[in-house]
Formats: sequence, structure tokens, C-alpha cells
Amino acid sequence: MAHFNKYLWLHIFIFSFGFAVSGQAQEFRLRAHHIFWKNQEAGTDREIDFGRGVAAKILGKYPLLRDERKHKYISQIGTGITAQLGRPELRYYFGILETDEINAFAVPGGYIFVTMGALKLMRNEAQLAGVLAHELAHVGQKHIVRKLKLQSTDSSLTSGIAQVLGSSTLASKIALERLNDLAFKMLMEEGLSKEDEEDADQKALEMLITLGYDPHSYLNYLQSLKPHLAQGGAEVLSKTHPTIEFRYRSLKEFISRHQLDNIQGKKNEKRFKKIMAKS
Amino acid sequence: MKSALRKLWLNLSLLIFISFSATQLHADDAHYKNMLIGERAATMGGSYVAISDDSTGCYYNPAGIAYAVGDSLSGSGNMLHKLKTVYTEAIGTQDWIRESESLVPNYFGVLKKYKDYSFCFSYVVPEAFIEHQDLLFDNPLSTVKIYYQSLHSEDITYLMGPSVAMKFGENLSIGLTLYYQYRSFMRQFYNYLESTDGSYEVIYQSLKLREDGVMPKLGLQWSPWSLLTVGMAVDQAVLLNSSFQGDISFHNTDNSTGTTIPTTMMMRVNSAEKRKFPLHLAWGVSYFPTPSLLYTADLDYYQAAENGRADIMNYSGGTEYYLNPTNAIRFGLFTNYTNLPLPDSSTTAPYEYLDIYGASFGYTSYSSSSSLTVGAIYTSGSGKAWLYSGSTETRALTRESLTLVFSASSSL
Amino acid sequence: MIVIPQKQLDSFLQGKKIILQFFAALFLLLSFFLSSVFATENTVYIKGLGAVLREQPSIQSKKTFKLSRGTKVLSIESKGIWQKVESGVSQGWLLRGQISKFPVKRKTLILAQKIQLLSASGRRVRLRTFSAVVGVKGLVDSEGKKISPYKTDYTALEWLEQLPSNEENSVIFLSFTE
Repeated sequence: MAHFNKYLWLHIFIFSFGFAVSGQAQEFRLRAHHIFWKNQEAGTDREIDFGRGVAAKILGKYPLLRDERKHKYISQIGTGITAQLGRPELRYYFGILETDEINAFAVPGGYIFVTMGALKLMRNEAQLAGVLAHELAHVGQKHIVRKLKLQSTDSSLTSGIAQVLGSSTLASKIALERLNDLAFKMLMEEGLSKEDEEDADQKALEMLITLGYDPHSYLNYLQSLKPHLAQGGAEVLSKTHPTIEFRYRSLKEFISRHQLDNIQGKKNEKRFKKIMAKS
Repeated sequence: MKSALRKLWLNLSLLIFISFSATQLHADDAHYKNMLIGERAATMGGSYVAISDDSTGCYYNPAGIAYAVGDSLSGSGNMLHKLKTVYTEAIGTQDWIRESESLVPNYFGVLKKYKDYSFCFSYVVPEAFIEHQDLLFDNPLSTVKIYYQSLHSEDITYLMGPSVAMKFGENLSIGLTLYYQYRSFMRQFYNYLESTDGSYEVIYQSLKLREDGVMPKLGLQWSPWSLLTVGMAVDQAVLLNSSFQGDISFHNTDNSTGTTIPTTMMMRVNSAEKRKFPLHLAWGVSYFPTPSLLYTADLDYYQAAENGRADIMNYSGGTEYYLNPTNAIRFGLFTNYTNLPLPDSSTTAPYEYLDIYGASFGYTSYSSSSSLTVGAIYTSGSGKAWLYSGSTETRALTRESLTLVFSASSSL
Repeated sequence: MIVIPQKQLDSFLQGKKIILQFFAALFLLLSFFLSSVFATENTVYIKGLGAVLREQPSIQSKKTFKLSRGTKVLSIESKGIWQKVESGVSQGWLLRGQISKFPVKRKTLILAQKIQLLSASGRRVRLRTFSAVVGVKGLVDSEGKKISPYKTDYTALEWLEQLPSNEENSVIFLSFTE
């Protein structure tokens, strides 16, 4: 026993030494499932349940354009993108909002909306694909769910959104409803972070390249937004997004960093104009 | 002459049971690792001292719970723990087979984190032997017409208590568990023997034991560098109270002289003598090369505190591998050496010398907030048994066990 | 640090064979896992339809091999927005948006579609879903106050959900070039 005691002090000494010199988190202890679920946050079905609530509020604010021809076109372009580059576990829905305001919305769970005002501003299919791709990137990267999670008071891994979404008690439904409102407010007033928008722009550009569309059309679309933002024709958009100058500059920088200047692609201007012309 | 020898054999074999039942109070206190606890831990050969970052950690190394990811609730049931011991040719030329089967939920724990502290309450069943057995031998020997034995025994040890752990910086933690230890043992043994000459023998034995004690456990865990953790835990169980009562009644007749001579006897034994538990020191090291893989190895050292026990070291090792982020498999190996001293030529019955080796396998499926584990633990050992009271005669002894593990845990 | 007891030492020597087997088995198992781990750490999955390998990391480069959704591939090298992968005998470049670190999951159907599914089988099942409760009655708290100040339109949402586009057809529609 005396033998052991001698070594116990040695142990304590070594242990305290380790404590003194190191300060890094033991991230390596996290196992694959921790990392996976941390990444997944809430389950997909919960995300969809949650997203439906937000989508219904957007449709409560702006009426849905029930023009089957236009809707089918947007839906096919959108689904064509998501089938290749979206989250495979989601089924995406695309809708046109009947308003002259210029904007597009991505709601968790795969609900994507673009306004009539934005469509009128677009010159070709590449621009439409770019705007949809930007919104799809928000869903793909779960920007909204993540931001909501950061805003919720409890930051532990398993509580917060996942818990609210998972439960079916009345109290949690009320909490869910409040989270829904928060998400809606975020889309309409606060917007996402500058980094998230920047990320979505870059992802959109990458998607356009992958799909064979002209990536520069997306930049042109951003440019064309400028006068409308100044006139106040895109009130929500200007409140919730970084300035066009910033986005344009950031994208240009991305293009030169990855040497994408010379990439050309299709624009499908005729098809786009033909469908948009009819009402 | 031949029949006299047979008679001797018979008497010897009878003595087995009398001596065995009377002295071998504890179903198996010659081994320390008869049951593996927990979901991950159990399926990695019980090698967990350097990991221990869930509620099972309260049992293995309370320091580890400081690194638990979130609050959790977990429980495990050994769906089935089957144990079979074979004493070769113990009853005349026939084998004596003892089987134990239990279905005891052996772990329950709830873990809660608050800032740098982690709290845990756990309930553990480290030992559970349940034996219900009726053996009937027709003409096992030429002088014996019927030999019947009925054995019903339950021996369960429970540990329950709180744990607390705290972090000092990111890479060092200390934890303490204070278990209340409770053991309940009872055995009823009935034995009937009818000889061909018409004489018979009946023995009835009833034993009861209750022990209460405490078991403090202190643990340390440290990560000397990234991807590696080492752990150390020390525990010592101390009995506060022990009460034993043994009753035996005996009745036989002897026809050897031509007239029937009956004998009857009744005896009660009481004892309050407390067993002394060994000091247990455990060291572990774990290596986490990727989020999908870890290796772990433990040493368990027991310093004997009673006469007739030896100091021993048990070894265990295990690995965990994620097939994908929601499915993991585990594998482990461990030793379960006897804590009795090595026998020599003067060793007499009752004595069993048996070293056991075990392997474990497990599979876990993870969802976002819960996990479900199924697994199996197989152990096998062979050794020698000194069965016949006062004799140095030995019999080959083999023991095999299979445990099916079923456990679930959920984040709070 | 602690002297291995004599008894243990003896039994070690006696049972050397068993112990050797013990460690041999452990070693073999660990190396088996290790080798498979280095392979799996680089495993990625094809996320969507229409993924095609290219010879060079360039959109003008020759297309060599088609990969279907969910295919497990090994990532070898990355270069900007391009990723080099290996699938069986073929190697080539993909855009990084086309792969995912996680296996491809089944599509999650929304509640509304589940209701339709049930209705189609002849049984008229009215699920008391969350959206139905909120949308039709409006969710109220304990004081009877409507919780959300915002208007909702679940009828429009259901109209939208009834018209999903077929993935394969949409990919063909998208691939059209004027």
C-alpha cells in the first residue's frame, strides 16, 4: 500500500501538469453519431413540419400565384436543380408569390418562393436558376434552423429546437408556434447573417456552373436589383440582405479565387421569355 | 470389496453436496468480473476507465462523466445471463452440471450536467446468480436406487448511489461515486437418497445472508494529448453490517447391521462476521484516432484483504467502430481470473481453481436523441475442482456463460 | 508500479498460449478495423441524379462515367470547387456540390401527402395534424388569445404540395439548351 501511495502522488503531479499546460476542448471524444446528429440538428420530418408553418405564414402575407403553366415551369427548373444538388431526403416545393416586391424566400424543409416582382426583373432562365439556387443553398446549409438555434436561450446540443419540434404537448406546440414566428420575422425583417448570404451566393454560383448555366447571369441579376433597391421596390430584400455592392464584390473575389472567369454557359432566354410573357 | 468401494464413493459424493452447500456460501466470489455493466462498456469487454463519458461512467470511473455530451438517461437489462458449470464425473461416473440463469436489469443511470459539474445517480447489479435446479438420478451407483437433489438459490448484489464530477480545465477531471452496497443471498437445498437395501437419507438446508455496506469510488481522467485519454479509479467496499443464518436438518436410516437405525439432527448457525473486500485499482487508456474508431484497454488490480485470497490483475481491451454515423459495432476481450491462491499438493476440498476468459460483441443504433444496444458476452474457463470433503482428489471443471445485453439510453 | 502477483505471473507462464492467442486476436481485429477505417474516412456519397465524372477539373472537359444517386465513392483529391473521386475502376472529377459526407436518405414525406395516401386507399382518415389544428382553428394559449399575430394560408400550401414535379423529368427539362 505504501508502494502505491508513492505513485499516487506522482499521478497527481502528472495530472496537474496536464491541467496546467493544456486548454483545448476534447473535441476528439465526440463520436461519429454526436457529430452526425449535431449536423442534422432536428430530424428531417420535424424540419418539414416546422417549415410548413413558416411557409403557410408567407402564403398568408403574399398570395400564391395559381398559374399552372408558370408554376410548372418554376417547379421543373427548381426540381431539376434539387434532384441533382439538393438534399436528397427532401421533396422541394416551388411557389410564385403574387407581389411586385422583389424577393425570394427559402423556408426550412424545402419550401422555396420567388416573387412575381423578381421574375419580371429576370432576363433569362440562368438568372432564375441562380436565384432558386441561392435559396436552395439556404435550405441545404440549414441557415435558418441554425440561426434560430443560436437565438434560442438554451444552447445545449439536444435541447432547443429539436426538443420543441419533437414533442407533441400543447406547451411545446405553443413554443413551436413562437419559433415559427421567429423564423418568419427573420425572413421578413432581420435576415440571415452576412456570412450566410455570402455563402449562399457562392453556392448558387457553383450550382450554376455544375448545371451548365451561365454563372455571370447571376451577377447581372444582382446588378439589376440595384436601382429597385434604391427606389424602395424591394423593401424586405434590402432589410434582410447585405448590400448589392458587398455581394457583387464578394462573388467577383470568389470567381477570381477559383479561376471561374472564363466559364460560359447556357442562358435559355427564349424559353424563359416565352413562359413569362403569357399570363 | 467392490461394493464397499462403491459405498465409499457414494458417501463421498454425498459429502460433496453437504460440504459444498455448507461452505460455498457465495455463488461465485472467487471472481470479480462476472458481469459486465453498461451498453458501450459491456460490449467492449468492460474496458471503460479511460472513456466513461456517459452515465455508465459512474460505475467505471466517475471522472469521465465530466465529458458526457448532454444529459442522459440510460438503462440496461441483461436479457439473459446463462451460466453452466460442469464437474466431470463428480457423481459416480456422471457429471454434475450446475446451471444458473438470471434475467436481472443490471444498470440504470441518470446523468445531469451543470456548468463544469456533472451529477449522476446510478443503480448497478454487479453480481446476480439465480439457480433453480432439480436433479434426479436413477441407479447412479449399484447400491443407490434414487438420488434426488433440489437446489434453489438467489444471490444478488446491488449498488446504488450518487456521483459527482468536475472538470479542471479542459483535459483533467475528477469524480467521486458513493455507492450503498446491498447483498441478499438465500439458498434452499434438499437432498434425498434411497439405497438398494432400503435405507434412506434426507437433508434439508436453508441459508440466508444479508450484507450492507458502502463503496466509495474515486476517479481521475486526463488527456495528455489530443486523441488520447488515460483514466484511473480506485474503490474499496466496506461492509457495515452482515447477518447470516444457516439451518440444516438431517434424517437417515442405516440397514447395514440388519436392523434399521434412524438418526435425526437439526442445527442452526448464526454469524455476523463481515467479509473484507479487496482494494480495487483500475487504470485505463483510450485512443480516439477518428470519430468512427476508438481503442481502449484497462488493467484491474485487486489487492486482497482476506486470508486465502490472492492479489490479482485482470486485463481487458475493446474497440468501437462506426459503420456509419448511426450504427456502431463493438468488440472486446477480457480476463476474469480467480482470486484464490494457486493450489498445491496440500490443497483440500472444497476448492475451485478456475481462470475465465471472455469476449464481447455489441451493436448500437443511434437516433438523434436515443440509442439502442444489443450484444452478447461469452466467457469460458477451465480448471480443477476439489469436491470431496477433506480429500485432495480433483475433478476437471469447465464453466461457460452467455449473456445477452439489451440496453437503451436517451438524452434528456 | 504494482508488482504483478506471483500467482498471476505463474498463470501467465502456464497460460502463455491462451494469452498469445488473446493478443493475436485483438491485434488482428484492430488492424482489420484500422484498414477499413482509412478507407471509410474518405467515403462520400453521390447526392443527386445526373452526376458525371470528367477527365479534368473543368466544365469543358470530357465526360467519362455516369454515377447514380447514392453511389459510394472515395474522395481522392480536391481542387477549388472540384473534387476527384474514385468509383470502382473509374476515376474522375465532380463538382463538390454533387457529393455528401452522409449516406443518401429516403425522401421524407410530409404529413399532407400521408393523408392523401390514406384517403386514396378508400379510408377517409382525418389526421389531427398540427397544421390542421393551427390552420383551421388557430392556436390559442391558455387565456384564449391567438398566439401568432401572423395570417396563415394552408389551402394555398396544400395546392402547392399537390403539384410536385417528377425529378427525372425535371432533370431532362433543365438539361435543355437553346
